[in-house]
Amino acid sequence: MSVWDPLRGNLSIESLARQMSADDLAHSWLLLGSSGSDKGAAAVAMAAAVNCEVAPMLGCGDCSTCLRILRHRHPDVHHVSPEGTFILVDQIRESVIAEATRSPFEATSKVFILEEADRMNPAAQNALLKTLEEPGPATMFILLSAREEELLETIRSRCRVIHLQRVPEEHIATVLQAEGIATDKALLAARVCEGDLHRARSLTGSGRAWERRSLWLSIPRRLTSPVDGLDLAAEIVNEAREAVRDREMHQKDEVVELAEALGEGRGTTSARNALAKRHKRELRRVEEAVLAEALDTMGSFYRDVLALRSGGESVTNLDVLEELGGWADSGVSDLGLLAAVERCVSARSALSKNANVPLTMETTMLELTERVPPDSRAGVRS
Amino acid sequence: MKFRCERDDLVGAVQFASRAISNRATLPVLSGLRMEATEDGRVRVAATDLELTMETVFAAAVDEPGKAIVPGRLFGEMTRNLSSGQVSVAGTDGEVEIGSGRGRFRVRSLTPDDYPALPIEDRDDSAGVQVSVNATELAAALSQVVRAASGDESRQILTGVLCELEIGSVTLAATDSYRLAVRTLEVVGGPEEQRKVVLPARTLGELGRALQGAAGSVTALVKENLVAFSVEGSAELANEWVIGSRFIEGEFPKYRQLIPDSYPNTLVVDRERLLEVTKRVGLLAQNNLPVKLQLAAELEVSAHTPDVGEGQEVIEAEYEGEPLVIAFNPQFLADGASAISSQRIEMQVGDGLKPAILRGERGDFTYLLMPVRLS
Ligand SMILES: [Zn+2]
Repeated sequence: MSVWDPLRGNLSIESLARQMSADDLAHSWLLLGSSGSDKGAAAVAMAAAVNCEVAPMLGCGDCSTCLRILRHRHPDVHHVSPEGTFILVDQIRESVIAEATRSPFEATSKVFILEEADRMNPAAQNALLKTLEEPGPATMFILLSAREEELLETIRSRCRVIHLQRVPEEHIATVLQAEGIATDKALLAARVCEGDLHRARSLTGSGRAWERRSLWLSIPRRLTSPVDGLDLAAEIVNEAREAVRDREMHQKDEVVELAEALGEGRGTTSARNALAKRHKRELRRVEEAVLAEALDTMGSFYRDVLALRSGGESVTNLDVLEELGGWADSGVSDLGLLAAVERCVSARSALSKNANVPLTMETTMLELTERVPPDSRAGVRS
Repeated sequence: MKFRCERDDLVGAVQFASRAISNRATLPVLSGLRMEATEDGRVRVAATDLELTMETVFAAAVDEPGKAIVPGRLFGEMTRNLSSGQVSVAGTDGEVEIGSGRGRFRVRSLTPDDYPALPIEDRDDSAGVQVSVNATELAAALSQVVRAASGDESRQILTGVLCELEIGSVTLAATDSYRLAVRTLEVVGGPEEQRKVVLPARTLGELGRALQGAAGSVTALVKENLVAFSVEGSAELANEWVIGSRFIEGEFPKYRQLIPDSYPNTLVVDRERLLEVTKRVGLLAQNNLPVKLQLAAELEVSAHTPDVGEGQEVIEAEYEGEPLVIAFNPQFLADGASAISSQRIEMQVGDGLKPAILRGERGDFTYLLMPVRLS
């Protein structure tokens, strides 16, 4: 058994595993890849491999060290992720710089895994840079990002850059089926998740993700006037708020759990405040994730229409193929569709930079109505 | 895990280890105390916040050896409120039961699988350097040096105390870049080649606390990534403990070159007098203003804060050198004077802008103090 086992089939990760087992190490790594590329799991496997005592540089996956690292419960493996829209300089100082100046607690090597490293604002990147330039002994940094261009060149040049591929569609379908998902649903989820196994799991899971997808796919059809646009924007925002409320329920359980672990009294306030702060930021992230889902799915709908017109090889949303066909035959212009896809992408990026949510969604919907005018779709079956 | 013991032994051990309990949200299991009962009739109680690890041991009738992680605060409160006499503690799946008299209390325990390995328990000294030092001397040295460390987190290395270890001696140094405290003390043992480590001032502060009232000697085992200070207990295991600390990595300032060989101007005053006058006059040095020292045949200490008030007081002194004026932060001056244990203090001064040196009659402690520039 090995910590790399669940990642087999992803060739770029297998190559990473080989570099490690050959003791070919870097102080700082930058793993680049979309959200489906398993870069988080790869980083954790790297942390286990350098610290495993049973199988050094391989990671047995079974010793106490490996198991705690895999569970994110190891004192020398630090996970840093944006708690809000950005990773701010204070978070880097507290979670990275102060820790990086200490000798390891029990491990061979301290490991810092910075998830969504591109969300560090420039001040945070510069603060990190100093530490990357003079890493202490026994320290490894693993930066994860899907948006390389947001990272300072000085940061990138300090790291060994590994480009990770998306997980192949067939692989995802196999995994889902092995997990007991019906073949039809597994195949469709593998197709629409864009190489993101986690997204595929959430789509086929017990949550609302699948229902939400149907809702997002219905939006282009229902967008028949600017007034509809404003209504639909409100509907999307509400759906995101609903997910936030679900999350809040879950957070209440966490607060109870923490209270049980800590007890009441002196000294526990800071832990409570830290949790409250994390929860608040987490809610913002949940909202952003649902909005991103909406924009991605709508974008993929418009892209599918374009794809159908040019032969149809790469259509994503196979379950609405008939409706897509109607759109492809209609008078909607290629340029309009292209602009709609672009608008979905740019709105998503604006939201990730803390734009006003209702306003962004409203202007997006109005622009979509304008770019893909309802009258040009006359005769589309729905 | 199952054992019976005296309530007071349990309470003492739990209180000691609880000082290292941490409320880190990232590793919730650290809010617990790790208890381990072994076949030889010992119960170890440990806690760590990862920087500081504290462990102690007491004697018990162990019925079933084993381990449990108990919620630290709650367990501490509960044991403290038990009436004295015999207590039984039993850990089962996910719970710990405390029995005392006719009372039975069950609390949920934390996941032992998540608890970090405690490297201070690995007492194999083959991979490290071991020295022993008089406990009272070490406690005194810590109280002299630790307070000079910086509290500014942005320069981590200065929040630590440098320990330079060689055969027969250790030198402790700390600085917040306004003052520097250096103390040398004798040890038994030591490395062939000088070994330097920087320890967080906070953990050394806890060590100083634990050493209060301790007699005999402390053993320090310096390994690759940590140091473990331990005190042997009596036959009943009373007062046996280990305190472990991680190192701060990085280059400590080369402090020796900051200390001048000698100065032409030397003042000798009574330590108590200097201390009380500095405190009194210092009350009128507010808003970060300094106290002013006029060095001549006598020492005049004065302070003036606009809109608040002013004061001066004269201390009889022995002075060799040119008359001169130098000003200091009153708190830092008082810290230096109170760190010195002898009756008289020697203050060496270059001019009003160069750092002054404070020493006692024993040559083992040096306190270097930056003057405040007078406008
Ligand atoms: Zn292992």
